[in-house]
Amino acid sequence: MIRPSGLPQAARSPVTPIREPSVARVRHLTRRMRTIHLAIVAGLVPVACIVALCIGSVHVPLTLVWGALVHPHATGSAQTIVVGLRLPRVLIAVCVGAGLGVAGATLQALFRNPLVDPFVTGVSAGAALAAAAAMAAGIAFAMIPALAFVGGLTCAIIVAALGSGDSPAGNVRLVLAGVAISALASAAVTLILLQHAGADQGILAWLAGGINGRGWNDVLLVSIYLALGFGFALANVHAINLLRLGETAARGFGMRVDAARWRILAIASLITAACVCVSGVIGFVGLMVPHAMRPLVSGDARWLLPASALAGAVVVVLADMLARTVLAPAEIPLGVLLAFVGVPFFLFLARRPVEL
Amino acid sequence: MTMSMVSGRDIAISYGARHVLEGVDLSLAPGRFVAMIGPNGGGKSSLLRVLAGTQAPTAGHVVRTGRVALVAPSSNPPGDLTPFDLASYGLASRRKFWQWSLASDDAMRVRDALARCELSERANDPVALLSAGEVQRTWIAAALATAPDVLLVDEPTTHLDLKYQLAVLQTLRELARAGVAIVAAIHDLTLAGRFADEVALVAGCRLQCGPPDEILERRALSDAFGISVSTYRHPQDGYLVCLPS
Repeated sequence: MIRPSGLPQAARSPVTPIREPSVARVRHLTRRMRTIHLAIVAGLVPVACIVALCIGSVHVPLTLVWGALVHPHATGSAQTIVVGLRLPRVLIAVCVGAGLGVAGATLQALFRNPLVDPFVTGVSAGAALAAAAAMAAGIAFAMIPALAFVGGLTCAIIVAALGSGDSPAGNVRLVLAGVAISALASAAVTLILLQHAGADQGILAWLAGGINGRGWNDVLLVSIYLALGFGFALANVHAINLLRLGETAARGFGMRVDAARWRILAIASLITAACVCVSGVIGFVGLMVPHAMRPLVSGDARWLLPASALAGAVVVVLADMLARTVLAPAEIPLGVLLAFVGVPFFLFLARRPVEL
Repeated sequence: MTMSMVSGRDIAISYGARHVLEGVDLSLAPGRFVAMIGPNGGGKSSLLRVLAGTQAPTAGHVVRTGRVALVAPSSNPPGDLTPFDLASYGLASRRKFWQWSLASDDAMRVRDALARCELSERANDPVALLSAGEVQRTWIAAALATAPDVLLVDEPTTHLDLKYQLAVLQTLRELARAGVAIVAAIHDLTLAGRFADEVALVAGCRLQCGPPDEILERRALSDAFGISVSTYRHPQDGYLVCLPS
């Protein structure tokens, strides 16, 4: 960690970066540059949505897609495909992508760990376990996000308690605890699946990560939970930013760190739980998207959260489009497809200097 | 009688069965620079946290009549932050969520704090491109932006070369002249004696506080650090030099 002046940086323990970022990599992003980058990413969202509405096992020309969107209540095959089938699915993909992006960015800032995402912290697995148990028990779908939230938060609390502390050891413990708790929750889900194998294949399809067959009711449900989560997340951007400086520094600036950490963990769990309920366990979006956005808008939560939401939406919309077209008429589960993209990215990340 | 910004009575700090400090009384007056010295693990950082209110003492109580800021960075700040950003973050716990940008008077306060730490010209450079001394001064500026009456700084000169050690201590000295009460945990005994108005020796569960000439005494230092320490006056400048003998 030699600085350009040849001096070591004034710090006692570098906490999270896998390797110190090279000085050449760091550049200051002016407000103007951040705005331009954010606007570009925001512009990609409608483009991705339109492309996803056009492309599928049946190709619908852009003019017909437009006509169906302008006259949604007219009858015709274009309306049925675009408004009845693809549009709710695309909107769910937007919600899930945005949610996972925000949850990932929030958790990475909270734990000051670039390898953290809803998957690693056990939030996804906990939410999946609660949701699977609720589905197996035949509980009404409207209640499932709330139960998934409880499950996700419970796992997150266990993981956070095991991996607490502003130290490299704390971060390693956190990842280890996350992997362990996720494995435990996954084992419990497998048990539920085995017991209900004959009765309900839906749980298996849902668990593999996929938004096939989702309708307008699901859009409404997930968007209400996500709106709440995003609202709370935006209300805590200053706290998230202060936590970027480390727990000790944040305390020194008068922050009630413990309360803020639990609050932010609960928000990330709420958002993740809402996503898991409609899409099953989708990994890597929460990990990849914030990393891709940081060089464009910086790690400042005021910019990173909106950018991660928008970019996450683009990634999941396009991934879902691929999932239903690559092997059409068969579908690849979204979680499986994203794993194929995400694992190489994860390995690339592990070799690359990372800045939070 | 000088007003006290922070005063502690009968403070005790223990970690399990290990007693770090017992029966500590102290009072911090505006405009005084107190250098806290002592062996590693002696309780300097713990005492600073107790004074700042981020750690509860095992016994005793602390009364704070002024605003207290603690600079105790435990890790590198994110490299993409600028000194302006970092100092702005220091005000985060006072900002409402709808105050997306810094209010104009807060922005002025941040710029003023950066100017006092001679960082105006580097205010918009990424922290990763700053020297170690500038990073340390950025932390101090971030604390100053909160307009503290008392500034507690844990090891501000650690990892710095001599030039930057002097620069940081000079900054603290000037802040003390401007009326801020400063307590800095410092390992270099000579620099502690040269810059501080008072030296506080934290060792053997006790705190001794007084003028540098009184505390930086050969026998007391040798006892505290468990090695033989020599002290003598610098032949030209006259300040106390403390070295292991």
